[in-house]
Amino acid sequence: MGVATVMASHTTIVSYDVAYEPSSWNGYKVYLSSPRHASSGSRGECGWEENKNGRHWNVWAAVFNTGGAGSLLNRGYRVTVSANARDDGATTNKNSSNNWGANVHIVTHTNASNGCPSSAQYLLVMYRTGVANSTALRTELLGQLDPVLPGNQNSWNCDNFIECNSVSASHRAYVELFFHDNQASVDWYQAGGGEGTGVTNSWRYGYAVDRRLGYPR
Amino acid sequence: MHGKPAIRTPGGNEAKRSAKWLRMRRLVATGLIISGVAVSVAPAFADSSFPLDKYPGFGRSTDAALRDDTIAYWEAFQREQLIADCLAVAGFAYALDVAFPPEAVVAIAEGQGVASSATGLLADASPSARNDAYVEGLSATERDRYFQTLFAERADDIMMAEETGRIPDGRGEDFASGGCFGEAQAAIPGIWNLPRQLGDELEVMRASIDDSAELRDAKRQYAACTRESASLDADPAALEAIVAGGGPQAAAAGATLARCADIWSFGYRRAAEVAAQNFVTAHAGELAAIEAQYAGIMDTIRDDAAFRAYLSERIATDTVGEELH
Repeated sequence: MGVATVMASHTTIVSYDVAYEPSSWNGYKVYLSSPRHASSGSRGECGWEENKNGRHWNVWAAVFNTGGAGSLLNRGYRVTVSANARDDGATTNKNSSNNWGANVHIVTHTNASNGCPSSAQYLLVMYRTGVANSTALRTELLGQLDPVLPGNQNSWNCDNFIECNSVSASHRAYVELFFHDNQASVDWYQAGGGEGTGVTNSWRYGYAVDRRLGYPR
Repeated sequence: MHGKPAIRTPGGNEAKRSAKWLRMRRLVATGLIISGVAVSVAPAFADSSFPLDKYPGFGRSTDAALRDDTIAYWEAFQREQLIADCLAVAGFAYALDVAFPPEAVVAIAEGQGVASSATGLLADASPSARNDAYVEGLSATERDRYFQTLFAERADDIMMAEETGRIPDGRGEDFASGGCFGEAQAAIPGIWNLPRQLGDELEVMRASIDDSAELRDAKRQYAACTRESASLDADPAALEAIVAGGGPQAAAAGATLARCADIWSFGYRRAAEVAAQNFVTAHAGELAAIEAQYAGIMDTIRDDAAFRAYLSERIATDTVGEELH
């Protein structure tokens, strides 16, 4: 078995999922899906490439206690963070989530308009039409992320995306955190150097999921 | 068929290494390695049994959850075998590719007493990479026939979907759900099928926890804790709202969340157990059926030599790890 060594997630491209086990499980599995664009790095990014942006946020949301009641792991969720390989592997993420039996499936990407530099700037959280748990999770994610992410907020359905249409978890949402071709948004994410301070807001994923599910422990 | 080149990864110390990494993972889970603000996540309960534990697909305690993961992985393996057999009839090769979090696969292997070994059943490349390479090597005509056989879809539509993550315009959940893949899904719906079918009822159960006498009692105790700690009469959601607002009380609210966490955990768990017991009573028929359906399944899994060989290969070749900052 290969074993990954110490890495910083803002620099990391990996071809495997990573799962995290809480010390006391609250009964819910969360699959955090990262981008797997083969074209990542050539998608108009001003800063880090899209696949790294999404997984970086997901890793921190999964395990790093930076606010509130902490990460999803701190809250007792079993969490899997997907690979972010440049292999157009969204279907593999869907299959892994479905086989594992995830109850919550959140896709985390960053958006693009015309390529760097662009002026587009908003948080987008998408939902599956007709799935009540998806629209409810969307509402919580928007409510908790919008105060800290750059720009305004938007929401519409993601019915034509594989990971929205064909995942089994009823609590599902598709997040475009910010525009990676907007320099101001990228600067927000990467502020402070190193891993950036923007990602420290990712505890709000756990906050939103807890609010939706009633703080299960 | 694909060739079977030797696998570079040695098998000798892999089981020990995986055990080491599982221990490392547990250290992370307990918060010992995590940077940032420290918050107690100490379990309020020992890992006791839960009312739904004996029903496959509903396990909550450690042993029951591992049983469910094991069944889920084995069923996914069975589906992959059906897909491979189905494609072989049409003259195509296919490397069995069970998508599953690798740490969970290691735990399953340990539970089954399967050690890692590289016996050559899998190539150096992952099964998905091998399948991708195989498809790329097909002619356009054969590639289209491959995807028609596998999913009952045109190759152009599948490749567009993989590239963009989107399904073709005008299509819905039926996209890529036919062919060999669809037949395998229909043959083995899997252990999560009943929980998904009962999703609305499980939502009712979840909502009943919030309305329960046990959680009301927990909220009273929790509020007493928050008053003592920060002169706040609050529940966890109210405390987090204060933290998220970032005002002058945010730091005190954060500290109170940590201080009172075990009171909430204890009360919630009590309420959840009552709700689960009510769920068992309300759905006795479905649960008895699923229990009967899966009777003896762990023995079947334990005796499945092909599965054990595959499992052994996967834990020998997959990567397990995590980012430690």
